[in-house]
Amino acid sequence: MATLTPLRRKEAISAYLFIAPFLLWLIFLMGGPILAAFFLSFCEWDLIGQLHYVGFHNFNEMFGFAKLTSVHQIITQGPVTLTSITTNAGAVLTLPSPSVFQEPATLAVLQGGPSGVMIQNLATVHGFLGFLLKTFGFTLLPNDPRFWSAMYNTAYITFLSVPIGMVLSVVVALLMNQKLKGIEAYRAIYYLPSVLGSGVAMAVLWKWIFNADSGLLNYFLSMITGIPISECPKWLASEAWAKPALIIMGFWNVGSGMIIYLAGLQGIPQTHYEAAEIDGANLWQQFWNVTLPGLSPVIFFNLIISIVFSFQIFNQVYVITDGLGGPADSTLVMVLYIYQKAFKYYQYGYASALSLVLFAVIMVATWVQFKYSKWVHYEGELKK
Amino acid sequence: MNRFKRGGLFLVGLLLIVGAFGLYACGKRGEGANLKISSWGDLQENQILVDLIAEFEKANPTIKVDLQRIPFGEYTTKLLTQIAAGSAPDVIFVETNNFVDMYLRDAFEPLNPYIQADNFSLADYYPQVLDRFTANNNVYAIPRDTAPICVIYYNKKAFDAAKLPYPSDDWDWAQFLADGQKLVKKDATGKVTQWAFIDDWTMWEPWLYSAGGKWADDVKKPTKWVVAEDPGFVAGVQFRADLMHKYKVMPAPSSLSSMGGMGTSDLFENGTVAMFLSGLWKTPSFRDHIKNFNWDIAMFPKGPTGVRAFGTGGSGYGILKSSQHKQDAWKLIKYIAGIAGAKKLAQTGLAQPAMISVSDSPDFLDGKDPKNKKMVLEAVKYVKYQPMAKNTSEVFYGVINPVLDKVWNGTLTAAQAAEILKPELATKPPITQ
Repeated sequence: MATLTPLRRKEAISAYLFIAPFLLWLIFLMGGPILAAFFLSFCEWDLIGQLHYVGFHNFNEMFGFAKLTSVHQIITQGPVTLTSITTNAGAVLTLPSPSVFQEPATLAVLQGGPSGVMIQNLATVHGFLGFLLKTFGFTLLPNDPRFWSAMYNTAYITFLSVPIGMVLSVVVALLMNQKLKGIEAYRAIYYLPSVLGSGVAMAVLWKWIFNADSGLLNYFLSMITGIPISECPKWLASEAWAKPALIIMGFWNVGSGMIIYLAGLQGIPQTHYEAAEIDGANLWQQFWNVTLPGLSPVIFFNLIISIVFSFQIFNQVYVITDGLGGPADSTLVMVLYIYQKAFKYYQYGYASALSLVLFAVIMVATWVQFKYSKWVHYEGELKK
Repeated sequence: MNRFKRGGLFLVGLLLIVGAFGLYACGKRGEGANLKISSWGDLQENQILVDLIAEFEKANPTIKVDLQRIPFGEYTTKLLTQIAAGSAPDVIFVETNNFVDMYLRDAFEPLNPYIQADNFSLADYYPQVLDRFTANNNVYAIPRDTAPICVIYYNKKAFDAAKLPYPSDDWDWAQFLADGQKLVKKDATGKVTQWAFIDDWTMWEPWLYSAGGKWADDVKKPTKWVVAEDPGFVAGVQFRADLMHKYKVMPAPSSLSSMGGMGTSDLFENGTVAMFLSGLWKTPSFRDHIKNFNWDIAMFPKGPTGVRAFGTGGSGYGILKSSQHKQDAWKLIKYIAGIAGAKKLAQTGLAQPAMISVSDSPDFLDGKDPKNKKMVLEAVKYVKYQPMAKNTSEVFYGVINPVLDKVWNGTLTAAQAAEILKPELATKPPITQ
């Protein structure tokens, strides 16, 4: 290190003074709360009550589950009220309360869980838990099913919107990279949505577009595909289509990725393309062997940033679903769930634990991307 | 350091000190004010309180009152934060549900000592309303208004066109359905141009209650959620779902979202829906906006076993335990939740006062629309409240509603929903500590 002359000391002091406000903000307004959240994860607190230390209880609540084994199957023909079940083995199981079944149904009698005995209608179990029950004869009753829904919804949105969004951004950037007259106007047009932000006005706008009967999207869909509007997906009003609607909504921000890729594209030396042409590469081979590797650092950066942000999606979902998480929890994303637990249900300890888990998930995702980043080609790096 | 750097540094330092002082000063009460009251409410509702406070200050020149308005969505959170920070108000406005959140966290000062010392009469308050704010024989808030969610606004022109007599307060589900089926109008393509019924938001509680259903074993000290085991749940929820999917007199959620993002009350105002379930609070807006048809109100129909029951809103004022000026706070409450406040509230037509004599007076029954306004006086007898547990809100919005969404969408029947809810409700018993 160079010697600390009076000039250097002066410069160093003013440098620290300049970053002091940010450092103070970081330590007190971010660092403090982050540490507090970490410790809160192991406590239970509802803002004015006592702060109880509860150890790993919150995490047990999140990840724990009870295993229910199917001990009997009943096929009912019509209206029936069950108060107790006699299994094939002759055991008599009393139900905690009478269960009424109106239509013919195949019912699985499950043992386990908090009530001891439970009946599940095989017609209504879906998803992974339904698969377990129908294939293996047991199922799981999570302590906090909404946690798993939230993780699933967040992962679904992330792993669909990030790759597709990136491909779209790259394609748009390639198109915008042409040396045509007036191309700047197009670049501005594509970038415009990002300037408008993701606020309440945008969410209301999108609610209108996704409107099942009178929205633009279904109108164009029926025009292009000929499907009548009443058969088109119900988007935000439907459990199955609410998440795809959110993903599609995200595509309108391709402009922000496009700008970064444009810069990346323009950083690829022209000489590489010329060399490739001399070697007889066609357009596709040039793209695959020159453009993509040249763009790979930018793609890598964007991938990490996009995944980190996508895991934390909140604004649009909150405004569009009024903070409820969409029809039947289908758009309940992690940050929305954390928000509900903290500010609607006053369970700050559990909410902190949830955010800790989200943080861990994002860290792992980022670490995985770094670990498998050999495909990133840095210009000027010495090949080892 | 050179001149500029030194000068700049001095300026920054000065700004920081001034800023810190400013923040500190904002935290302290304004000079002279010694009572703080918090409330939510739109401009019109807020003005009532502002006027009442002005009158109170005139009558009590030694007391100054500071009104803090907080948006309803953040109300409880903000109050709890202030209590934790030690800067809470003295008097708080609460309603039937956020009262529970604050009460269970031991935020309220019991009012019995003040009531007895002043011989303050509680006889004029509706007992059902006062009862919500009473626990362990202690009163914790003085009621201001009650709002039974039982008001079925109906479009007289639509009833005339369908040659139906206007609904009487005595009607039941069967009559309601029969009327509803005659009120649906379709155009040539089969698309519905007039629906029979819609509720202000997804209001399934009145159907639950009037089918004899209930939430928990006890409202004040719940130990178990019984709602999914109660046959009233299946009956009530299924009936509401049938209104949408079987009888098609009410728009299903997906049709609703397609009515162009209009609010449900807009649909009543423009004649798209003939009957609208809500509370009396819609009256000012309907009086202003509805010009094309005459309308009136009827009580929510009786259930199949003759039970009449529905939920209710309602609000009141309480004193926080942390207050340093409890006597003055009590004086303020006596005024704004007493006769003076009740009369002012009645005159604006905004809400039904919790005082029987004021409700039953020309101040409230002013002869303006709706003509059948006196129905709400009778309705107070039948109101039901949600159980007083810390996690009522979470069970309602986080456990029950997501499953019910599927019923309203037509994916599940009410009986199936009940089976799904039973184990989930068993894992989340009511928390009252």
